[in-house]
Amino acid sequence: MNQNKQIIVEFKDVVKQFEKDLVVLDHLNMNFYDGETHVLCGRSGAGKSTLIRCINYLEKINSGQILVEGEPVTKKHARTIRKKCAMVFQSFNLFPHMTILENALLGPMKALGQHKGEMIDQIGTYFEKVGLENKMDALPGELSGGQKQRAAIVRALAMNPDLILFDEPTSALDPEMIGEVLNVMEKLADEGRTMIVVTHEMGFARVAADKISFMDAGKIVSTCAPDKFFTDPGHESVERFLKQIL
Amino acid sequence: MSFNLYVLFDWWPQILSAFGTTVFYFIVCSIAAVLFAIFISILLAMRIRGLTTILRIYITVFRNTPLLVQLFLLFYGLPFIGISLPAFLCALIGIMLNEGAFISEIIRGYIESVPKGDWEAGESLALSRFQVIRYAVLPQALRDAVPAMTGQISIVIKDTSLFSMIMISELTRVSNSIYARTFDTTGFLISAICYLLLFLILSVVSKQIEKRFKVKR
Amino acid sequence: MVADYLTIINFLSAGLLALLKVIPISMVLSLIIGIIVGVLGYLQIPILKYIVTLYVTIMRGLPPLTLLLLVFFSGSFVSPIVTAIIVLSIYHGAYVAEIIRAGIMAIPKGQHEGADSIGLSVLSKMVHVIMPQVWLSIIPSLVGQYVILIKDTTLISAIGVMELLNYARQIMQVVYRPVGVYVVVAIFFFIICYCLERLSKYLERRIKAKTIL
Ligand SMILES: Nc1ncnc2c1ncn2[C@@H]1O[C@H](COP(=O)(O)OP(=O)(O)O)[C@@H](O)[C@H]1O
Ligand SMILES: [Mg+2]
Repeated sequence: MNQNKQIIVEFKDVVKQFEKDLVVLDHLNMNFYDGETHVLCGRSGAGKSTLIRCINYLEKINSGQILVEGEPVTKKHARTIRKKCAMVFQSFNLFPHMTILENALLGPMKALGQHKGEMIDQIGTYFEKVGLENKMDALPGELSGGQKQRAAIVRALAMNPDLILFDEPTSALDPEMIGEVLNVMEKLADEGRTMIVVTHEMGFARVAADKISFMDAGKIVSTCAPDKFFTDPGHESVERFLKQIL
Repeated sequence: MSFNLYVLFDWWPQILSAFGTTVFYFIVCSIAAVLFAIFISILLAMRIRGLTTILRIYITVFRNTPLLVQLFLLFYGLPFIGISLPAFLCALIGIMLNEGAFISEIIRGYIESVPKGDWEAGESLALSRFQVIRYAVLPQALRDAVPAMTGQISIVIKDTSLFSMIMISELTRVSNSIYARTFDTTGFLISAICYLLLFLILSVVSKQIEKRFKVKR
Repeated sequence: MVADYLTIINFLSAGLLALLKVIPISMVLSLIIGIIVGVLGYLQIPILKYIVTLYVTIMRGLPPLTLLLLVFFSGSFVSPIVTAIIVLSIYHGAYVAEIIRAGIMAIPKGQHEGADSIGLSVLSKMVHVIMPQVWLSIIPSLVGQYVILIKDTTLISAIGVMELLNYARQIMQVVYRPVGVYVVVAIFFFIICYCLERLSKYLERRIKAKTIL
């Protein structure tokens, strides 16, 4: 089913361990495809965050290889790869001393060397898309959690990335704000953006994901399309997991 | 210990000029120390192997030896190995190195307390380590450090009194020479009042600065 | 060259004698002043609290060198070394007082209320309940203050106490090695202050570990 799509991220026999005996990614093999929204779920501690943090070299792997658009993720290539893949964090990590507009401008101006003038219209439309066009000059501290996360998404979009990584983007939010962030993410999925999303929001996965993977103990146990994932994931541990959270 | 007004009448030009000298040295030395400290803390945060060790040694040595000895080394020691610096430069370099060590320790502490997530967010935006420090980390750390830094800067006022020992005619030296001529300690009282005045002004200014730089997360 | 340095060290060790009097006595006296003023500052007794604030503010704003000269020349009947001890104690006493006051303030309110509820007098509350808990937490800052006190002893050369710097000046007439002489003085201070700094860091870690447990 993937023949016509290009691989954007490829994990080849990747091992990541923290201490000697704590293997977090266990000879992991996986492909992520261009244009797809790929949801990654699994129990806490399964290694989901570590997996996506290895893609943009926030974590360094011990062996194996990760390729992003054919380029190996190494210290040498870290910055080129980060220019292509943006990240949205669980706790937003907006810079508190900058307005959210300045937050969004920082990467394009300083890392991509673009001029403010050429960026500002584009970034303005992103702020409109997430419904923050009136808040662009606010400091993160003046915003609600949901607004902060939407601003963080704009900061990621501003990099004009080929791939966006989301690490539990709604887990730190009050329940009433989860929807507004998921709506934005659904919009992005509809636009055909390439996203890898770690989340427990199965509603989002059902409507927005092209594929869902289940991770357990450093391995990807099962990967399939949403309909199949929720009806017949083909693996007993996934069924148990689904029973618990649905 | 009594306050004799005649000292003020007879010596006011010298006292006034000494006060000016103290204020001038205080301002110039504080600025130099803060800028130098920022520079050092950036270098430390860059985590350049080798350099970090050297900087740690510099900070430890200058924090744990007396400023007066450092000033004497610069003023009386350096000429002996062929470097003669004017007293002004000795004072400036002495404070820059000494208070620079203390202030950079303060800034380093606040840099380390910037959440790890902010470093990662900066790195994820493809910024270089220097850019992450320059744009994402340092501005936050400096804002948080303002109260501790102004506290350290208020010590620079007091440090300037040591310049009397390397031939700079600031308040303490001038009071000393007034005493030598008149055997009257009023000059010391006058300088004490001047120092207190500077200290109080700085306290008020610091409070304003602290208020301005407070940020919510 | 080696002989020069032996002469220097030999000469300087005479200066140590004065410091061995000034440093320990000033430490003890500043601690006593600090406890009294710190507790008074905490208790906020009317009128007295203004005096405490005035004292602390003046000491925080005045250069110790100016204070030394003022006191020494105003009361020229007292020996330099006694002046040095008095001034250093009064000056650093104010800082110690602030450390102790902050230490008392950091004690949870419940401890005060507990002591009050069993009817202890203010004095026995401070002595038996509060202060024993304060000591542990203030030791690092106290050691830090003592490091400053030790470095400040160089200033007493200005009022003629025969300590390291004044001996250094004398040696210079025998062996003209200003760099060597001052480096030796610096090394002396470095050894003491560095050890104390390590000690205070070590205690801080120990105390933190204990309170978290
Ligand atoms: N920096 C780290 N140092 C040591 N262990 C870590 C670190 N980060 C994560 N781990 C461990 O790795 C395992 C996987 O963590 P993580 O990738 O965060 O899982 P998930 O995101 O699926 O909850 C956990 O056992 C966690 O404790
Ligand atoms: Mg996680």
